[in-house]
Amino acid sequence: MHHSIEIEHLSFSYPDGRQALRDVSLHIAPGEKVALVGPNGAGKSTLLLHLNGILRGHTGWVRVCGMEVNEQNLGRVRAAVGLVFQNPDDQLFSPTVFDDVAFGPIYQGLPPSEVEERVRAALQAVHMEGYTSRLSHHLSAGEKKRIAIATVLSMQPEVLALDEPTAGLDPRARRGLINLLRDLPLTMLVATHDLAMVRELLPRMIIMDEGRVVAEGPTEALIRDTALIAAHGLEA
Amino acid sequence: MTLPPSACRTMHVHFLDPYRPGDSPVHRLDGRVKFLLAVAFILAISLTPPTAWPVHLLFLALLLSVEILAGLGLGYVWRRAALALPFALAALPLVFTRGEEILLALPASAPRLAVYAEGLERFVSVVIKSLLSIQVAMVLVACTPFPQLLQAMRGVGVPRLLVAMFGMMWRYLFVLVDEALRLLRARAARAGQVADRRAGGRLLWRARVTGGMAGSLFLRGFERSERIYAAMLARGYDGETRALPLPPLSASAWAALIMGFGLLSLLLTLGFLGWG
Repeated sequence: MHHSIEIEHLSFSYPDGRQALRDVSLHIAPGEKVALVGPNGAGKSTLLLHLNGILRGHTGWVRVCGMEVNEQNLGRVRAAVGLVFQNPDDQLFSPTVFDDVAFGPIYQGLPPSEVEERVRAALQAVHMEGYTSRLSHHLSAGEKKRIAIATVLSMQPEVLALDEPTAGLDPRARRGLINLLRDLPLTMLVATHDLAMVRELLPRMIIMDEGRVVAEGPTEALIRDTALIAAHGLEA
Repeated sequence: MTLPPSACRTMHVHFLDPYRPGDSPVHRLDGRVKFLLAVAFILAISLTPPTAWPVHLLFLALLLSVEILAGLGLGYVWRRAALALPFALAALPLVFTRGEEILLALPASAPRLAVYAEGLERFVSVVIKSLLSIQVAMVLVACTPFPQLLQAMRGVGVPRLLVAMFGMMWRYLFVLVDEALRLLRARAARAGQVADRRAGGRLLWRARVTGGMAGSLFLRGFERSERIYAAMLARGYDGETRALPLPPLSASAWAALIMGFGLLSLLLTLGFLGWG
């Protein structure tokens, strides 16, 4: 039985010299839903980009679903981890919703009938059936977010990594998204500032600050520690 | 423009900026003087008669001294200037069409092709002139921060609207490239592979995806420009760009300007007297 995500002593700095991750280690079990919180610039997004090898650490290693993230495994790792970017406009690069959701399966070389089935199932999972021929460009923020999630669900990943999923959504869209994420039976790592959502959805929490993991544990216990929460620029 | 392979691994793009920080006399010279002298240099060398080879050499010597003075590294400037060489090929037809004296007649070609001496001279001269002109521009942008260059252009009377357009282009070029970078990254994140299937899809499909990306980049650029314009209007933009006046040129800047102009006119006169 392997962990979904294993990270050991990962450090990373950007080419301009800014150190974004310092000796990060963490483990996430299959099916676990974990929050990644911390102030802007804490290294949350950078860490998510390591999960499917877009960024590669200078020291330490990352293992996803039992596979080490390296040049040979890159394709399989990317099939196993669905990364949902903060800005859905980055995620949706095709003209229509169908093209976008079908990108992953087509890239994987699946036969057309299976591609269509995957797209149908993914759109159903995010409650957006009937949007296939819509233009990605013309959707509302909440719709774009759901489609962005569908674009990775169609790859049937084992892990879902989300960057600020509720940022910029109105209360109704946010509520819909939380319900949607609750119903998805996947391992989840969610980088967010939305502690109310964390409390509702994600039983375990990891706090990062200045590239380090500064605390981790059950969400309720950490949120009750108001000194800790305030020290890292968060608000419960 | 091509992105280096490591570009997807960074958050932002820095490599586009040609400015090389430094503290040479060339760096310190007033931007207006540098801009005027660079334009004058390009004008002077373009007007030089094509067969005035010694004058070409003198221009080269002048340019090399400035490059050495600026401490940019000759390799850097020449490598970058070489990028412009293919454009000089546009002058290649001159070799076959210009002049009387036939250097080399290509046999068995119909219509008959011949290499003319005068055409060849002109072609070589065009190549040298474009290489030198590009290098002057390179030195200018490598030694002057772009905002200062814009200020200088405004200061010497380049139309304000044009300067404003250069400024906008510069500001948003980086935003656009960053945006392209994020799209490429999102595509890479979903380029997965499953056991016993060949990943990648058909070539035609990949081309279509790339086309879609280019299209959405264009649409976003277009919409962003509308938003920016609205934001400008909201702050009182009325089609006229205004700027604070620049301080007058210092005595040493005037001296550099007059010396530079003097030297360039001297070279040009030499060219006309000897070979005009």
